[in-house]
Amino acid sequence: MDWLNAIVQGILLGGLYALFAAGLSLIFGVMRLVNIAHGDFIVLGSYLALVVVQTLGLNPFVAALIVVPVMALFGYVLQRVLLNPTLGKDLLAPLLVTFGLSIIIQNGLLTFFTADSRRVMAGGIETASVSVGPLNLGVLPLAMFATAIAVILGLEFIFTRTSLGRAFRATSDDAEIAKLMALDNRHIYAMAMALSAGIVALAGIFLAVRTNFDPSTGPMRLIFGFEAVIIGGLGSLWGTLAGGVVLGVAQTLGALIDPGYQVLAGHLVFFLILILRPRGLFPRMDG
Amino acid sequence: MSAPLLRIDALSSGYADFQALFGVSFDLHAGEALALIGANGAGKSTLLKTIVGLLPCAPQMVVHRGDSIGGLSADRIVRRGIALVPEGRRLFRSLSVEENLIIGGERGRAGEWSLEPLYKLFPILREKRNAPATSLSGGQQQMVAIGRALMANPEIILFDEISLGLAPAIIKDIYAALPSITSTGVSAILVEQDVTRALGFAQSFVCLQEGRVSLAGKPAEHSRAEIVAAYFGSH
Amino acid sequence: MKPDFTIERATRASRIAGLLSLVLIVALIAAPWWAGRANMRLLGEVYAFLALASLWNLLAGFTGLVSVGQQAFVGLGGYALFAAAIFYGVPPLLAIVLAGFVGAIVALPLAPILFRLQGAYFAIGTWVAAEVFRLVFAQVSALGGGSGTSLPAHIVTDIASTRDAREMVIYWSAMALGLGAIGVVYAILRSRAGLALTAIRDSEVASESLGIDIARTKLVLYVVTAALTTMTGALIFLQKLRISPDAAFSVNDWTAYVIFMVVIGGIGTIEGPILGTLIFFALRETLSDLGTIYLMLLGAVAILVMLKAPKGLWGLFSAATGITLFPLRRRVVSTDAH
Repeated sequence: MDWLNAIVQGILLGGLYALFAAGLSLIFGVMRLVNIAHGDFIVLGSYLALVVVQTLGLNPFVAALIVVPVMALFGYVLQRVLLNPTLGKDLLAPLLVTFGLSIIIQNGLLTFFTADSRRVMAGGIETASVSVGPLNLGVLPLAMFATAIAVILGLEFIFTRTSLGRAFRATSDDAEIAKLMALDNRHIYAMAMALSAGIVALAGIFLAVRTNFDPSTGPMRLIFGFEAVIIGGLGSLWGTLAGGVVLGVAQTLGALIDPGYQVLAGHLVFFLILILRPRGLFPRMDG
Repeated sequence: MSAPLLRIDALSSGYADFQALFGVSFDLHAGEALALIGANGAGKSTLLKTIVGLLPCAPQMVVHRGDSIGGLSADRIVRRGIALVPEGRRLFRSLSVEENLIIGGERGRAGEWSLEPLYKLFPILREKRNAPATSLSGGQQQMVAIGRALMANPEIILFDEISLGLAPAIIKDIYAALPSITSTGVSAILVEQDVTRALGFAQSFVCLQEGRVSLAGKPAEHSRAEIVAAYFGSH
Repeated sequence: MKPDFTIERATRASRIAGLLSLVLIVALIAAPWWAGRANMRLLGEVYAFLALASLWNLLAGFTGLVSVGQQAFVGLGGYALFAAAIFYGVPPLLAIVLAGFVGAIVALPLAPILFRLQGAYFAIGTWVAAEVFRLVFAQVSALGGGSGTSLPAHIVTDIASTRDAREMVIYWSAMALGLGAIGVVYAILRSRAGLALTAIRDSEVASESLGIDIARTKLVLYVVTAALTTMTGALIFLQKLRISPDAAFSVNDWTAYVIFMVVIGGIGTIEGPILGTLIFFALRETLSDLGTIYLMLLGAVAILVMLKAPKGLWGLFSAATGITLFPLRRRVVSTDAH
């Protein structure tokens, strides 16, 4: 029974990891950029939610109406000002610039909010649960999982059905020829980063409601998101969800053996996949 | 004669550590098809890429309808109505045939070219419209590349080596379609290995040799020997 | 017929620098007799970071293997030293050498797995590896588990009986390691493999067609770097006399700072990491009271350098003056003029 429960909790936790991963996957897909500060963006989203909730007295999920657009705007401006100039040269520039950003965000949050752990209260949803047969499912994990699916469906819709999605794919395929379609790559990249940061904001809000957070918790979120991406297979959105689920289940099963093994078990499964299926569980067909 | 539609004026350009073009000048008039010929490495593709803004140059080196547009970003030049059919076709591989065509037109100018007229021009594309663009044969891909450029309703279209790597029968089909493009008043610059075919299609020509204009004029005004000498150089 | 040119690497600046650094090295060797205890400690730390920065630069700047997980080997070295000394009574200085072997043995199977990740994903992969090490050592209760352990007094007094003598020995070990690491990097870059590295950095495709075995060169470099980084880690924790998983595998202390040093100094040059280390410590000694603001400044400076002067401060200086201290580039010099 414990096992079944751990597996179900792990699957739901995978929804949160898929949210961490989706934004990472998106910008890598469009511009081959890996944002080392991605986890710190998530925590920044958590703090933004905290501030909005505390100053306006809103429910955190209503606060999303403010947090998501603010983070998206932040992503857009950041891409145009700092990240676009690093693209197309070599690997080092974007990597080190986002690494520097990570340090700036962490220490900036430390300066404003101290190292104290914070938590955002959501009026009871965080402890509410529903019984499904023998299982007790938390409403919050269910909401996280549903949000992850909604986000992936939304991204899929954008990518396959909209003009912006065509522009993303075209720019990713051949950035030079995309310019000949009157596309401004700088704007397209910034839109991708804005979208990524919007998803990050959602992940940050869930993180803030689900658990304690402090300025130093970003890198671990980056690593979880990254593991989900690699386990699932680069460039596959549903693979990313599967990767998140595999990681979540590995962690909850690890924790069942010994609480100290929770995170370690996830890392080990990640390395196992890397050894056995280096292209992930669901590699892109054309890749 | 009226003011040219496009004036190339003492254009020099190239890549970071390699200059490919040295003071190239010529005019393109409205409704005219111009053949740009020259040996491999003469600078033909570089010139087309510079015109559409994929390579930098000084503003006054490219003048379109009286405006200096040299060195503008490619997306702005394309919006002005100058389109390129790139060498090697370079279709977007994760887009279907129809999506490749749509993305070509989305940010372009209004005009008579849209999906319907294109499918009439190249009926096979209608049949394959949902297939991944790069799954098509070389000739069909070339039709998509031409269609993608036309969708923006350009007033100047630049063709870079559209027959390269295609079977002779396919090349014939594609050239058969060109008059229906230029007859709508579109001006064209055509880069082509097959000089005879290019000169047969164009009203004027420019021959490049090692980045400089070695001969220019109307095909009928110059002897075959003259053109061959300009093409290969006298050494 | 006698050719009227030769191929040289040395420049006038490099010869003068060679002479000056000789004088400097002698002065630094003598530091125990003229520097106070606090300054010697600081110098010891500088040496350790000189090694870490030069080694990280060898990987990132010359082979394109950008790691944000070198703390894996720093921590491993620390734990290897503690384990060897506590469990097997290995003398600490010998344990440093031993740690080098441990690092190489661990890196050898790890590298092929990590190399399956490309570019920035490789970087994060190295980080995950370091996290695995941290979590594993937190489970080893014989070494204090999550809260860590101290080096027992009898082991410390084994090095030398008086405190002054001990600090002297550790100081010289650190100096040997710091300068030794720079020396190894220089020797590698001057070797045939060094030429291959430059080729890889310039174009993987081209160097492959020249018959350079890229995978092998990268593997060898990764393992050598790991071994030396592990030795440095062992030395760092011998200086500290105390170890814990969080301190041993800290990404900030052993990788973030090192990256800033290399980026600010100048990536892809030998001089850059040295200059960067000196700048880092100068800033730290004067600005560290600012705390988090200081770290934000450091991050901002690194971003600025990366965007505006990707070759770093040494690159700016070198471009302006033409000076190189560690001549790598071979120059064709006419012998007619002599």
